[in-house]
Parts: sequence; structure tokens; C-alpha cells
Amino acid sequence: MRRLIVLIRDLFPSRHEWMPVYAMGLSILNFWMLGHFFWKFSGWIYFQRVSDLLVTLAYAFATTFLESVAVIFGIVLLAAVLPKPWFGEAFVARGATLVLLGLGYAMFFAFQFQSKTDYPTAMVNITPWVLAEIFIVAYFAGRVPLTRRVLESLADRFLIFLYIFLPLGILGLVTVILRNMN
Amino acid sequence: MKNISRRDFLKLTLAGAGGAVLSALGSQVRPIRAALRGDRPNIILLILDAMTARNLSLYGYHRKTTPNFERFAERANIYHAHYAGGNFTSPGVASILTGTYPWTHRAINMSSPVAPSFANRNIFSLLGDNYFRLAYTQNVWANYILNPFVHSLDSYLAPGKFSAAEQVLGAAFPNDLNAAYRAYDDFMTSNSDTPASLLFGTLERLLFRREVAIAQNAARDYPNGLPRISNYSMVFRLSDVFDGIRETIEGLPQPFMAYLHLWAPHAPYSPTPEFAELFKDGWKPPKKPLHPLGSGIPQSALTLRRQAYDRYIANVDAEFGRLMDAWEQSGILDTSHIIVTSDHGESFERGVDTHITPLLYETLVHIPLIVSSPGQTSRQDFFAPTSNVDILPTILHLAGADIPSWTEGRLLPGLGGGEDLARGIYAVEAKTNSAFQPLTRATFMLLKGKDKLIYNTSYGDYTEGFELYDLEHDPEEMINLMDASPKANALKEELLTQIALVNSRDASDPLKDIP
Repeated sequence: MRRLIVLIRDLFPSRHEWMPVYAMGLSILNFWMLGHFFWKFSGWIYFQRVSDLLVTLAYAFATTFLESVAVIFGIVLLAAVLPKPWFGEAFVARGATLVLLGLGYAMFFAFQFQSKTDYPTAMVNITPWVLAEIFIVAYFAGRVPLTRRVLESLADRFLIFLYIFLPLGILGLVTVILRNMN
Repeated sequence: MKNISRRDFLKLTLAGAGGAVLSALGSQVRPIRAALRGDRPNIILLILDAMTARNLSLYGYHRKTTPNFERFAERANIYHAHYAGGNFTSPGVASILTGTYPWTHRAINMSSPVAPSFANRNIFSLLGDNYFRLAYTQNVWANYILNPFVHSLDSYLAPGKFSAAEQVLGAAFPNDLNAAYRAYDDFMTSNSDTPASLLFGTLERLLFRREVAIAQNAARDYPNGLPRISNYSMVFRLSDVFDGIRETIEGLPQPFMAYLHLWAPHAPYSPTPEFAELFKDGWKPPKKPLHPLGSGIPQSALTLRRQAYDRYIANVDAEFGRLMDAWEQSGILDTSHIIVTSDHGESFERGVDTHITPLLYETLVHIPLIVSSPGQTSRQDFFAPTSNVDILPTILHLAGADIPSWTEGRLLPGLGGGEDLARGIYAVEAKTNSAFQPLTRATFMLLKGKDKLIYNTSYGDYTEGFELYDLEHDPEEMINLMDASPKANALKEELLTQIALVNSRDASDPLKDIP
């Protein structure tokens, strides 16, 4: 039993490995959200009180927190199911590449059908290919020493934002739950 | 919300449907039972969004846009000089539900709510428990007005209730509606910008578009696309919405008061094929100058837009006729006051498309009002100015409830009130003014008899100005009489005194200290 637990644990990246990747995802999602918030802020202050704005932020932080959990869960799961040389080794560099390019593609996607009302069939059809290419780039990013060092260093620097956005996300989630309890 | 849970409401609806089936089996439709509690009449307040009176043949428009409204009018009161409180949804709806002008209810900005003290000062709370109170609006901005009143409702229907496809997420948080609508539908999954929720928001949009494509393909009855709510994830069939409210009303316990606010004929205009080719008459509207506060859209483009709007009105009119026929059959018309109006108008002149403008010309604020009372068999016409702020006191009067002293409305003529040509009617537009500050960046209208004064405060490079029109001789508002009319100074003085009075109150919540 003990050996089985160790075996399963070894499939997953360690806390020191996944935390920088998580910090990067959480930060990007929150920067994107806060950019939109301050874009709307100038209109909202005409009729919303500070308390209303804080509640909106609570919902927003709660949502980005859940999004970030979904992102890191997906990446960690990928590391667990793929052969270690493909992804588990150099997890930070490869995970950071997935986060950067994956969320970058999501931004591109969001902009692309901002003004259109039809279902974006062409974009949806190319998405699996784009994701496959992102994975290939991530694989090589982990193999080239320079890119690996740069990405690990970059991911490491995002850790500081974890101390800001993680408490805000949890606080937001608690606020949303409390406000919606009977 | 209290008394009736969603499950109870479903049971009631099913019971109503069951009753209808039994009646049909008896090969005749049995009239709805008389009101249960003290023979109080039912009240149905039907709002058709962005419907200007100026484009309805009922009010003399040259295109036959509303034959069914005209048919209905033969058993109703028609108000010919009826005005909205503002020129877009937030102030317009708030004036209806609170019986006050925008300078009092303070829902003056796009998608803003009313001042906090109106949580217990609205049509639903004032009616009290004697009525089963139901509210449904497809317009999310109207929901921002409505949501603080939910505790006074017996049934609240989510905006997407009768939609072909919808993903309005705020409705999933019944205990925190306004915050959730704001956070999700106006922000995290907003349809008018890139979503602030990068993953879930983008995914939501993708799923919604897929739902819409499936709904669109299921029945090709809307070749130009299903009608949709601009800015929010909702598409619908007009017939589904009208059928939905018909069935809902027929299943309600009596007496009831129902506020039903439909999106149509608001843009985007999407009529069914039957109406999509109407009015190819080559008609051109009177030439009016571009207004410096307009959007500068060429008149040729606006004329085409007006044609599309007229077609959509004709489509709405046909559905309205179908609804009234059904309610006549089921007996609803015999037990109910039916009040049909709009929250604001729609413009296709002076460079203004739809109603996103600071202007207050007739097209934007002159709206229909038709009221049919139980057993009414003849038409009555009223020409004195009336306002949507009059609807609250009139409904309370019809329901036998007390009318509060703070309302700025009066009883409508023919429904407890008399015609008063000397009365001043106001409309206010102030979407770029803070709701918490006195109104200094706004447009005001004062209508007295047939004299209409418009006051634009300064907007950026636009310096303030007054316009005075004689609507009797100049209904198109072409000749500004400000320098020529002997009445100009008195009207200007009256309006400025009124503005000074309302600006002297606590701007954030003027009724806060009034019992």
C-alpha cells in the first residue's frame, strides 16, 4: 500500500514544481480580469458604491481562482498521464510554456469573436492543432537549456503574486458563498 | 420572495394547464373564475421595450404597423400624449415601478439600479399581500431595477425564461441577483466586450454561440437570425415569449398583478418572413438637421433602419393580437386591467439611431399607453399629457391600495383622475451624470399642454441651450420658438426652478428621510 502511494505521488510534480506554474496561471488570469475591471471602473463609479464594486471584485477573484485551479489541474494531470521524459521532466519550463501559450491563445480566441455573433467553426476546428503545437513547443522548451532556464526563472518571479491573488481568490470565494446562503 | 416557492408555482402552472385541458374537453372555454380576494381585479402591466408612439398607426402613423393595437383600442382607453420618464431602459422602467422621475429614483445611468430607499417604495411592495405579484423582464437592465424588489414578489421569472437559447448567469444566484448579474453578465462573461473571465467567459461564449446555431437551425423561421438581446447571451422566438406569458398568466392565482416586460420591438429588429418585406413604399421622413449631440448617422441609413423597425413593430403587433384573442377566450380580459406601454421610444432622425443619445425629442419619449379595464366595451381617447410616473398611483387606485404621498405621478384620466392640460410633465436624461451628484450634465423636458421645452445642459463642447416647440402646430419639432414665444420665459423659469429644487435634495437617495 505504502509503495502504491509513493508510486502515485511520484507521478505528480512536487509542490515546488507546480507552484510557480500555478502562480503564473493565476497571475495572468487576474491581470486580464483586473485590466477589464479598470476599463469598466470609470463608468461604474457613476452609479456604484464602493461596497458594490468590492462585491463585483469578490465574484471576479473567486472566478479567476477557480479558473486557475482548472488550469493547474489540467497541467498536473497531463504530467501524471504522460511519460515522464515528455512532460514530467522540466515540468516548470514546460508547464510555464503551456500556461503562457495556452492563455495567450485563449486571449486571441476571446478577441477574435468579440464582434461576431456566429459560431466560430473555423477557429474551433483548428484549436486541437494549435494545442498540439503548443505542446510540442513546450516539449522543446524543456529540452533547450536556455529556454528552460529563462522559463523557470520567469515562473519563479510570478510566485510573489501568489501571495496576493491566492488570498484574494479564497476571500472572494468565501464572500460569494456567504452572500448566496439562505 | 415569499409564500410561493418555484415548486408551488410549477404546480399552479400545471394546475392551470390541466384546467385548460378539461375545458377544451368540454368543447368550450370556461371563463376564468372571478377574483378570489374581495373581487379585486387582476392587473397586467405589459411593457414593450423601445416602442415609440410616433411609429404606431394607432397614433396616426401613415404605415399600418399596428392593426391589432387598433382593434384592442376599441375596448380601451387611449392616451395620446403619454411620456416616458427617460429615453432608455433604466430611468424609463424605474419611473414605471416607483412612480417617480429619474431625479428622484436615481436610476439615471446605463444599467444602474434605483436608490436604496426604493426597496420598499415600489409597485410590488405597495400592493401588499392582497395580490399575487409576478415579475418578468427579458431586459437585464430592467432586472437591475427589479431585483431589489424581489422580496416583495411572489414569483420572479428569470430573463431567459422563454428563450430559445440563453446563458444569463446572474439568474443562478437568486439571493444576490444584482451583484451576480453585474459580476458575470456585465463583466466576467460580458457579451459586449472581451470577457474578463479569460477561460470560463470565452468558453461560455463559445457554448452560447453553439446553442444559438442549434436553435437557429432547428426551425428556419427567422432568416435574418433569431431576435436577440443586445449585450446579453439570450436569443428567442417572439411567438415563444408571447405564448410563455400567456400560459403563465392563465395559471396564476387571482387576484394577481403581473409586470411583463418584453424586449421587442427593441433593436436588433428581427421580424419573421411574413413581415420582413413590408413597407417598401419609398416613403421619406421630413428632413431634419443633424443635432450636434446626435451620432451623425446619415438620414438615408436611418430611413432604412426605420423601415426595419416598422416591420418589427408589425410583427410584435401580430403577436399582441394573438395574445389578446387568447386572453379574451380564456376570460382574462373580463377580469383584468391590461396596461400596455413602453419604457422609452426610438429615434431615426437628426443623426440618432435607436435611443443611445442625450436628446429628448418626441420619437424618444412619446410612447403609447393603452389601458383596457374589465368589461370595457368602448374606446375612450385622452389628449392631456400623462407620464409613466402615473402608472404606479393608478394601479394602486385600481387595486384599492393607498397611494403614497411621495409619488410624483397622478391618477390617469378615466381611471380615477381627470384631464389636466395645465399640468407639467417631465422627462430626464442624465446617463453621464453621477447618480450620487446633483444633475448638472443632463437633458430635461417640460411638457405643458402642447408646449414642449427641452433644456440641454452643456456637454463637453456643446454649450447649454433651450428649445421650445408647439406640438399642436409643429409635431415634428422643426421650429424652435424659444426666442419667439411669449410663453418661453415662464416655462424656462418653471423648469429651472424645478431643477434647482430637485438638486437641493440629497442626490444619492432623495427620499431617504421621508417616511
